[in-house]
Amino acid sequence: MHLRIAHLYPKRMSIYGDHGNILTLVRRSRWRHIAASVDEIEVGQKFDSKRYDLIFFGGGQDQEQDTVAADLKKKAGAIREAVGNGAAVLAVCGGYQLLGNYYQPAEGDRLEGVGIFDAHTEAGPKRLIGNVVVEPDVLDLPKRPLVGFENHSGLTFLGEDANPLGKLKTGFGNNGRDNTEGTVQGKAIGTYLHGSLLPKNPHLADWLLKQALGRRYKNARLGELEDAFELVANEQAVERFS
Amino acid sequence: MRTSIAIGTAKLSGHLSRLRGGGATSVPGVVGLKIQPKLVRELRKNLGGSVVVTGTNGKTTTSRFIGESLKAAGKPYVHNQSGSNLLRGIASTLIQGHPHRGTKKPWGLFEVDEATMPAACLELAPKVVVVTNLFRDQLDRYGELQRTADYLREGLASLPKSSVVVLNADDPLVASLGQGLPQTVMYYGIEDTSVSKDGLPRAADHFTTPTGQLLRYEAVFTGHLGHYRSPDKSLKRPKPSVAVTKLELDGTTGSDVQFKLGRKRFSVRLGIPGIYNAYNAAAAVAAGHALGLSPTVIEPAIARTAAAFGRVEHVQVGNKEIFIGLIKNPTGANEVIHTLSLDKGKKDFLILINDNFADGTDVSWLWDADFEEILPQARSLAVSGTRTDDMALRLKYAGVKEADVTVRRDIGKALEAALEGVPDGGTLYVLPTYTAMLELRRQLVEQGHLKHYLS
Repeated sequence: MHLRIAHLYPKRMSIYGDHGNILTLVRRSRWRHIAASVDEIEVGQKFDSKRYDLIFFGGGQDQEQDTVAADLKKKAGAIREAVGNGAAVLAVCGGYQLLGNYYQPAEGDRLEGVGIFDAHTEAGPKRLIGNVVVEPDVLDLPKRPLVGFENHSGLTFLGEDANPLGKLKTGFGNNGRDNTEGTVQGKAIGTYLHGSLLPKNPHLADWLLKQALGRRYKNARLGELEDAFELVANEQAVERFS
Repeated sequence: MRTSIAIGTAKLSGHLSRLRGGGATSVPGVVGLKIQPKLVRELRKNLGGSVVVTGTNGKTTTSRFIGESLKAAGKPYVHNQSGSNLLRGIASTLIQGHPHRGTKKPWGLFEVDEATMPAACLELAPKVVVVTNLFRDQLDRYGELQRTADYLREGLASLPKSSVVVLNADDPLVASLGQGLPQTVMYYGIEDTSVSKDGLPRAADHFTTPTGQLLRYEAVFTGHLGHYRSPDKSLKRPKPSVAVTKLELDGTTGSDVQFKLGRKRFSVRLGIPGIYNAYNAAAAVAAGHALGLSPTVIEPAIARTAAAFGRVEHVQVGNKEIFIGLIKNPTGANEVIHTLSLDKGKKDFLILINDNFADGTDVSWLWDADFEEILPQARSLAVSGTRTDDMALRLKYAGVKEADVTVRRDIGKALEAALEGVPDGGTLYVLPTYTAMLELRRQLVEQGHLKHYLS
């Protein structure tokens, strides 16, 4: 088996340790003797809609996000096609916002999103910053809490087709109002959780790997890993922050 | 009248706080500012002038270089302690340094938190402002790096026209602060490209021009610091007036630096290691020049400057040694790792990660730092601190087996165990975050290996 990952805009959109997510996906594949490769796709580069099993899109600073949003217009069709072809998605923070329907800044026009998630984001009055604990509600994902760290000012609201990733135990989540965090839509997950997210949430990492491999390998099974460090880090965070 | 009541009450509250065993560095400032909000502005009249140092990394060390230079020039000065770099800390320093009638006015040397720059520049009207660098750090406090730069812009905009602004030419975001300033701007930077890295590290912030182009680098010295320009040449590195023309790094013990200031060249053996301290020294040379000090005064002063406590330090413990290299953000951590990798041989490591407010509560940065680079040099790896488990996990994903990482949540016990494993005559390399370093020092003081910290 060979997992093909697309990392969207790593130069402009990988603040807050998003590299840890890629590292986790790659390591957890290789520990199971599944080959994994990562293509870094920057502004101006082509996105091949047929190639990828998993698309990762991290967070950036506002200034970078404008340039990325402009470039994303050219890739939007191909990314939607890839998701239609069965690619799994993990989008964090800025990436989550840009894969929604649109982003409404405090002043000026809407930035059109890619529309993978039935969600929109509005500029908020203050930054929502701190540790987060979430009770996930995703089909086939174990109920173990998800832990991470959020730092965003955008407020995201889910539409009818998008389910929340889970319910908040600690933190602001999507918008600080409806007690939801992130979204899951088919094989695509959007979230505000940095931390990095996947190392401390190995169940979510494996859920994504399974969805991604399922695209081309119908009977893909993931072997068990020795997750002692992962589980202690998850439990410690739950204990300290919820 | 209000000012003298404020000073009297503030001094008294400081005494009371100390009697109760408190550290008291900011108590007088808090009290004084409550009674007289314009206290800093009032008290600055008692100063010969002031120097402000801000930026993500190097505030404390740069200030120490400048302080030694002032001392060498026979200029007395007051200086806020590290960790008291908000307005109340500045006020405390001014209250405690309030001179008696007839004595010479001291200079003020202030480390200033980036978010405090607007207030500090307005209230102090400093003669010289130094900006060292801007890295991703504590975004849990400031939100974004551009926001941090905006604080600095706001501060610089309120400076008197006669001020001198000293900026790092090699940091595109810092250098851009100089554009359009009516004040004299002095740039400093490294010219010796022999110490350049192969490319931008993962932890680097990638900067774009207003039109969204990524910068191109001909040399990278640390993080995003180096020789850069935008593809359309609209943005390029300013030519530094204080340049490091030769830099020889000598592991954790120090480095040999040649400076060029105008036409003069002079060489200094720095006792504080690493490329980042060459930057700090260059910043101090520029600040010293702006203060009218001659290189013959500055050179021996920076040569004898010792590292600020806990930043980089060698401590003797019996027949073993502890090297302490503070890590607080990915670029800083990468530099410490790079610097110690110049020491030969296999090493024993103890990494201490806390997530208290002063450390930054977000530990995502651990995943941006290149801990992979310590693996080939490691004989043993131990982790501790409030975020023990995050660090253990980081090492696992860097490629270490779980069984090869020693995990102990208690810093004292982790230190004891790690030291025991070091062979006689060997060194334990300890990489702590800020509050973990304070805890480490407390342990070393208790065990009699270190004296209490005095300024």
